[in-house]
Amino acid sequence: MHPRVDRLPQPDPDYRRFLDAVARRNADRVPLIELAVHPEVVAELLADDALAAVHGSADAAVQSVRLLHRLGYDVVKVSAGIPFELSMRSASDASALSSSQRSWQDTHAGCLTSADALAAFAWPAADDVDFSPVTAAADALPEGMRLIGFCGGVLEYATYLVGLERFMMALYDAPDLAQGVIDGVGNVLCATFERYCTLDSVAAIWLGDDLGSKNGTLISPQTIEELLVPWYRKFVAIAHAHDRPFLLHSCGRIDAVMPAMVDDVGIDAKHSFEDTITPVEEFMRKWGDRIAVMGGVDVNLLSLGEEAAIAKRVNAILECGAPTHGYICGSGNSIPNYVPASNYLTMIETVARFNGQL
Amino acid sequence: MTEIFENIQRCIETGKADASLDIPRGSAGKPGVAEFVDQALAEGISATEILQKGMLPGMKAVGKRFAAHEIFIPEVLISARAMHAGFAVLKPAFAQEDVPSQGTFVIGTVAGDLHDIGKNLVAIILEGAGWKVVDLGTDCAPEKFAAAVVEHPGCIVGLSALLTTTMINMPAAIAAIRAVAPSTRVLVGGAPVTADYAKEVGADGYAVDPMGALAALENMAA
Repeated sequence: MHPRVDRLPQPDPDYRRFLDAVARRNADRVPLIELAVHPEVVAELLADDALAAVHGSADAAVQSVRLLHRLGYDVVKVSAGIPFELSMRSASDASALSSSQRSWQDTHAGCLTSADALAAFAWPAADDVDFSPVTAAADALPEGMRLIGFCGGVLEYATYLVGLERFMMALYDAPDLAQGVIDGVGNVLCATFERYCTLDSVAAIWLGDDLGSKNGTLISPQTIEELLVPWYRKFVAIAHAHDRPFLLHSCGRIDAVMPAMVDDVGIDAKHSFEDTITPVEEFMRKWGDRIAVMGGVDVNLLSLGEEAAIAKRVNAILECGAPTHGYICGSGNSIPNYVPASNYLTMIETVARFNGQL
Repeated sequence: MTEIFENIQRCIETGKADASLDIPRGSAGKPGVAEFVDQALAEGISATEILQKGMLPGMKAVGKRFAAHEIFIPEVLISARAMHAGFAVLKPAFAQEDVPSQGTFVIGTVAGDLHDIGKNLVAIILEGAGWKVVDLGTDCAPEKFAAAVVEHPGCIVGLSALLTTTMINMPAAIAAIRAVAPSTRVLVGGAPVTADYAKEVGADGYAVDPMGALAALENMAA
């Protein structure tokens, strides 16, 4: 282990602490959450592993469990592999820890570009979804820890399958194609969420659907409510029927649809915050009495900031969030490989100090 | 004459590129931008006047409505298609006229960055506002920006980045640009970029959205 990891308090995970915070009940301390920690950062902090595991693999899931347990987390997000054939591109990666290229979703190419292609498309069945990372992570869970079952979103997958610009134009040119792809994706996600909920090791369900840009929603709030919200309602119904909370990760400025997410969809918690869009404290003041709030330590700050500035910012967020009992601390998005491991540890140590553990 | 400009503007705003499109619903068979531009040319209106009184106001209105969150990416894209349908009809006439341009704007995402949705929206709105846009594409090395500056003297350059890890490639691009053309003005934007960061790296401007980019360019060009 990294020496600073060794100096952290001994873990005593209890997933009920996380669930208490999601339910805005008084937890004994502010819990931690992370959407993802890049395998290269995981490898650096574990120190005893020479090579980073492949992103999304069972090995990566197990290493995440090992690391996050040691860092003081109660829950670990894990993703089953949905076998959509997605077009990816790559470019050089200048990140300090990187030894390779960075992969990017190709927003221009897609395989579902016509009614005929949609009609012929073989949507993955529930059994086609690769749960090996989930099973491996479940087997590696220390006592008291649980998993959060994650799926990418309806809009995200639809734009990947059609191509982003083509999907956007299909909303006008071929609305049946757009609706058909949304429904196809929605069915696959429903089946995956159902399967997550059969597992005792899974304590919560997490959907990641980036709906916003820096300035507003990508598509109109009305289209979101007509096209996506019906599926979100189904996901929440599945989670709640199995007594699991439903967490939403959505990047960008989505203020215009937050009332629908809270009042209509019934999400239990919101994740993804950027200081240049909505600082997490601002969101807590607006929605903290209705839903739990997760993360919010800006990734830009974690990437480029000094450790003292990070500690100061984390403390300010904790001072605002802890009294609500519905705050779970973490990065605004995730820990990519361009966040220095030392900065990530500063966030973890600051939370431990705030909780009286250090 | 005003009516035909209003028709062109309205068709651009609603994305009605040509008669074949059923956008807005129920409009199939009715003229769109292509037909109205064709009609305007047949009436002897110059390409420059059609552009400046019909098409550019249409696209500028689209930009304003996008900035005001009245319309969103799909609506901007169908409006851009309508604008290009008009350009296609105007193209032969452009060859015979000296069409004035607001200036040249070179834009690209910086090295390592392949995300170009924001860049493309900026290009659409600026082109619709009468700027000549030279789109260098994605993952542009500093040398590519420098070569474009040499090729387009007096241009303004826009740098776009999605991630913190690619945003930090902006200073190298600016240095390469200024090494070959020291007075070149540079505008930066993208998800992690802030006005403070723009100042820190020596950019001349920062834009939060396409209309912000247009306003910044108009200030720089004034």
